[in-house]
Amino acid sequence: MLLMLGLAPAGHAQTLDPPVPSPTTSNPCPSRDIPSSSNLLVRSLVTQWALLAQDLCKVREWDHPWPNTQELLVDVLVGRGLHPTGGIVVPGSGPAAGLALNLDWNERALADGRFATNFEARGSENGFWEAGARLQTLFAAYVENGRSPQFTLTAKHWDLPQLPFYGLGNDTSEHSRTLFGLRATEIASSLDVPLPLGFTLAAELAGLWFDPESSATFGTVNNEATAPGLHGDTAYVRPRVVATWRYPIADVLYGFSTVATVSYELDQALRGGPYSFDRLEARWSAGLGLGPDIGALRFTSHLTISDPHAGNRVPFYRQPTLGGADINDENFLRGYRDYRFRAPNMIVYEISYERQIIDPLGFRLFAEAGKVGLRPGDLGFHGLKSSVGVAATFRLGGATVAEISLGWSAREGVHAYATGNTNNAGGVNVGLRGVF
Amino acid sequence: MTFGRRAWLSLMARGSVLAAGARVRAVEAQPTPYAADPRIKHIVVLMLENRSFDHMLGLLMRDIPDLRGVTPGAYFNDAKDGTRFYVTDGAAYQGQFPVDPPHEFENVHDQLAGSELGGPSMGGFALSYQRNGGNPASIMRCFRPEQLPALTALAKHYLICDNWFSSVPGPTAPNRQFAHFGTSFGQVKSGIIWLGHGKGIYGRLDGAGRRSKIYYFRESGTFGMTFLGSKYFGLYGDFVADCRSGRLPEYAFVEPPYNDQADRTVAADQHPDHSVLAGDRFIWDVYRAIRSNPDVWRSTLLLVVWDEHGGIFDHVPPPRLPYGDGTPDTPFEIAAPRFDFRRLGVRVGAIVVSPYVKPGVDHTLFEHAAIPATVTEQFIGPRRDHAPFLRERNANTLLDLLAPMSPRMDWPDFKSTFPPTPARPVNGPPSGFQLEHVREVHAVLARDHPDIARECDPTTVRTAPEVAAFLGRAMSAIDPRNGRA
Repeated sequence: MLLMLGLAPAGHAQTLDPPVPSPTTSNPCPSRDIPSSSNLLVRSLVTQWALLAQDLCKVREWDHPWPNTQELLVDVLVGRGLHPTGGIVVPGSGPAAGLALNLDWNERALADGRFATNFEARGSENGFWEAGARLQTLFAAYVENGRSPQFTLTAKHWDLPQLPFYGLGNDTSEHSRTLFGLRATEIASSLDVPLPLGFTLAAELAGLWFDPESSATFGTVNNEATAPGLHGDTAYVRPRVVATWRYPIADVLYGFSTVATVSYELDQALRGGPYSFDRLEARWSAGLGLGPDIGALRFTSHLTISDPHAGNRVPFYRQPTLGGADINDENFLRGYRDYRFRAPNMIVYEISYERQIIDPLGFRLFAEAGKVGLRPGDLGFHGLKSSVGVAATFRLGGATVAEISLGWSAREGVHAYATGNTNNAGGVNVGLRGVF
Repeated sequence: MTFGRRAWLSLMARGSVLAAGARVRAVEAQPTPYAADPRIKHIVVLMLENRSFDHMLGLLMRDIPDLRGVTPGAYFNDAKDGTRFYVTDGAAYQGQFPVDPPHEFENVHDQLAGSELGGPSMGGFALSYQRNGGNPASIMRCFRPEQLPALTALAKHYLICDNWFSSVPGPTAPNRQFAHFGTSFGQVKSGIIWLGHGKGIYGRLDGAGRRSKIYYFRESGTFGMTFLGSKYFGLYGDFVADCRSGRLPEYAFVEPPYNDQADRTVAADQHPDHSVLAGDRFIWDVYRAIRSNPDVWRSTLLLVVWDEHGGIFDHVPPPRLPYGDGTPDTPFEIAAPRFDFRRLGVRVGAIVVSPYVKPGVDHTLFEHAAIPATVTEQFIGPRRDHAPFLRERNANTLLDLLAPMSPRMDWPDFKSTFPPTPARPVNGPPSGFQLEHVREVHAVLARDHPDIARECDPTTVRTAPEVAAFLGRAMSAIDPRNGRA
């Protein structure tokens, strides 16, 4: 009978109040019909366009234009589809901007069959640029303490026209700075598997290609002895294994926590000369969070040891650097310039104390000591370079998400750095959008 | 045709009684005396994402007849061309919602499908999803209880609230604000709402000398509350440690991992299309953390709840409250689109887990303002003095659900064994969705090719391969391009 009356059986019976006219709701910005397309790119772009058109309509037509404007900005910047991006390419590149395209390729598959890709390209006004793609999938069928294996495939190309080089070793001068260019391409696949008791094991296979470019000054000042590998391009195949142990398994802000990582890689040169080597890296970090009113202590150490094969050397552009920020934007010895010390081997220690002043502001005191070594035996405690500094920190969610620091060293004075990380503890929708 | 009639009669028999009971509770929901329960020292809230009550818990009616749930085929929604999509079982952990079901304010209005003659018919979910590029059948699919072992174990062992609605018919942001502030400050849509509105229940607790913390995952953060000071936060690992060591604050709000984390923790918020099974594991993880310390367990009330329905079907029309939101002097209203904050959002799942509740179902009317209302009554004082907004002042509290009894120390009948991500069975039984598909195709066949339809008996389909064979044969007849000239 109900159906004869043309009413859906999903019932009016449960309404707690007597049937009353529902409020007349004007809907000036209805969601749009999205035409289906078998082409993923077309579908993503059409969906994004429909979303942005609705956002624009809300800004114009609805009450409270400011929250709707924020929503529009969020949809412009993140989520599936095409978006503008910003940041740097590498330290010293200057501000960079570009575009990112985020796609889910087999969106109808279960978790262990899905993969999402991110394509991004950005360039800076100084002529630095990079372009890359990343494919990632989680194998959710296996879970260890909430963690699942992850497969990642990455391809990336950098063009870095001007990187500083001060020579190899600890005894170089600030005034010996010359510039070189570097083009590099990396294609890598890795599988990370979480194991019981907080261990994770990762295996990676990568192909790498490097092409250094000497400036006129660089070629005049340096040679194969002082900058091995400067005369030609090289190509590598690099198998690598990484073991990580963390305690406790889930991240904490308070109490004791530690993470230890050891990796071993074989960099086998396939072309370009005798530049094959093995590399061992170890990193240990331990923190003690005492509470927001007391602060947190953290100790970090990082060791890199390179072992060239017989008759081989490590190209200068494959050697780790200390000082300011390195090519991965890691900050050690901030009282020195970016890329200041370079050698096949490296050791660094840092101890820091951080606490809030008035939220969201805090401060961090840090002291660092480290050195590079032409040989592993050079990495003793004698002759460590040191740096101390203070940073103003910006805290969200009880943790530091960005800081501006001043580092001081007795030899090279004061240097300023700004860093931020990309986690979205900001919690202000941006970064979470695409999920909600 | 019998689906609707059966459902209607069932609702007439049970629903009217429930509605009457709920009405009594709702009307009685005046400012109540200060009613703290001395046994409770900690309230923990785990708020998950975007799943409706029927989708997560509705099929439990099979085992709990008193539950206002669903049975497969009991309700339907019409799609664009009039095709009926019925409630079915066999929802997928992941992959069911490649397109996020729409759930902004105007979308939910479409889904409720209200008319001038009556309240919401709940008839617009399928069409709304279809218009946004999704498969309308997906929006009607529900989880079988055995698919969600942790949720089902807790639901059967503790107390299900089957009359808990999201606070506004809209998206995540305003609904979560009701949980944190007891109001959405007159907002019904996405965007940054909290700016300049104080610290909500966390500031009130601080003013009363009580501790509170929001626990989150490093790479997904908190939703909309990160502006609070450092002392209000911990990471999820801190929650586990605080439970174990007895340092749990009076009020703890647990944020699930909203994204896959760098340490390979899987997104467990259950937002479409994140893994619902990962969320089920996470629910169990939170429960297990509280049980790791018997003293903490003996003094804790845990609420597992979803923020809103996420565009997914539920069959119970959200009621209109006799009051809206705002301060007693200034009610909130929205002019464009018009809304008076009296209509609640779509019903969501809610389970109260505590050593002081008895197994069963509670039909009290709740919405998310009940969360700060409960915390206020328990740890601060009477709401008439401490709750500034109407919804929270008038909300029912969870404290009324606690029974005078010695603490229950027994465990649910569940041993942390989760099913693997389901492989597709080769010869398994078809899902309700598959059977529904068979019925639909046969109806088309009967209309257009009655001679062939007589040769294809849909009642003989018993396995998934038979579904495939049936559909292949039928589709070849309906559309010769499918293989039959």
